Amino acid sequence: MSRYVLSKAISDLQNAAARERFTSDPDSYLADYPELDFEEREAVKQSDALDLYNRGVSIYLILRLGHIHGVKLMETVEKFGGPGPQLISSDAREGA
Amino acid sequence: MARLTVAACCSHAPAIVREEEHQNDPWRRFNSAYRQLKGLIQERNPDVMIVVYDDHFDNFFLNAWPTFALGASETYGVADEGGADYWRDPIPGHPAASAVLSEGLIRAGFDLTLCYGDMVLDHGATVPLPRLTDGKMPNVVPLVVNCVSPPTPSAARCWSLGSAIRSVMDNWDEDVTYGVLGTGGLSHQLGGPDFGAMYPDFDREFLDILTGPNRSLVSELSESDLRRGGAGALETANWVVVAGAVGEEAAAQVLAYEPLESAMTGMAVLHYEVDASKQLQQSVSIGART
Repeated sequence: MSRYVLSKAISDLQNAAARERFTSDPDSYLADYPELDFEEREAVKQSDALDLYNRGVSIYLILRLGHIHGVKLMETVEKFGGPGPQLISSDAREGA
Repeated sequence: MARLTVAACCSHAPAIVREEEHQNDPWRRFNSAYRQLKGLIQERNPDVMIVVYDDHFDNFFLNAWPTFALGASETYGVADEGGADYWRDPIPGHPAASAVLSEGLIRAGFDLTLCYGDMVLDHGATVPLPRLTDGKMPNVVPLVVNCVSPPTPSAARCWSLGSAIRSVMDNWDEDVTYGVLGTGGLSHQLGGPDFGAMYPDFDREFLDILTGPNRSLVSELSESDLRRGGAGALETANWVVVAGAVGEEAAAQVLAYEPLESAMTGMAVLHYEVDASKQLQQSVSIGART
């Protein structure tokens, strides 16, 4: 597992040319990151938010990747299985 | 001598630009507060605006993530954040103010990362700035605080940095006016099982400290204290820097506080009256108390 390389493969998509290459041929794009194993490449290709999060990728990079895949924010929220937008007592958070 | 004329903080959530989601009273109250702050900024029209925000993997990456970074360019680019309706034009800098700040702050013991070129500002700056200036971008000095890649700086360090900024600028032998604008927060949780949660009691307690008689208590908050507002609440470090610059004396007014569902964020606008001749009557009005 390479949190750094995984994060870099997503971060580099900030470049428009890289985005175009990724969307047209993700395998070719991800071949530039040979340290990634099969599951990591699949997580990027599928924009698997929960898997990427559990691998230590920043939520900001995950949301950026989701945007490239056309995933709406609320779809990502739902993938985490949480309550979604709502008010919670911070004491409840402390007890969680 | 340089003179502080504007000090304020506001949320910078991307939902602020999605105006189609603003058709309800909480959003109207929040937007009204943004417009009120805009009026104050336009009235004071500072020569330079120090913008304290956090980068969201748009300018910095894990190869080198600074705790504090200061822009020192003549102009700044704008991050490509994937099609959102953010400001896109270059933003003018203020190299003279950057030079004074970099020299003074490093001499004061703050080992800043200095960004002389190719720095891009993200929504932490490009959401609030155009809306607070009607698109007439001020000359800015970006100060980027690490709020997203732990370990993050302590509130005590952020307060001290703000205090040092004030000291350095106020001792600048130049007839300029300046503002300090902190952005981000308040409570929000991105990722994890509580994704989307807001924590109004955290927000109210934080705002109560900033508007109360012992503002410096905010410097005693630990990272775990700030995380009571969710991971996104670490952005309140930017507000602590501004509080340090203001100090204890200036009256603070919460122009709005609304936990906004479509932003998944406790959103606030706070103004410090730093012009003694215009001291506001302190009347704190915080929405969603019940």
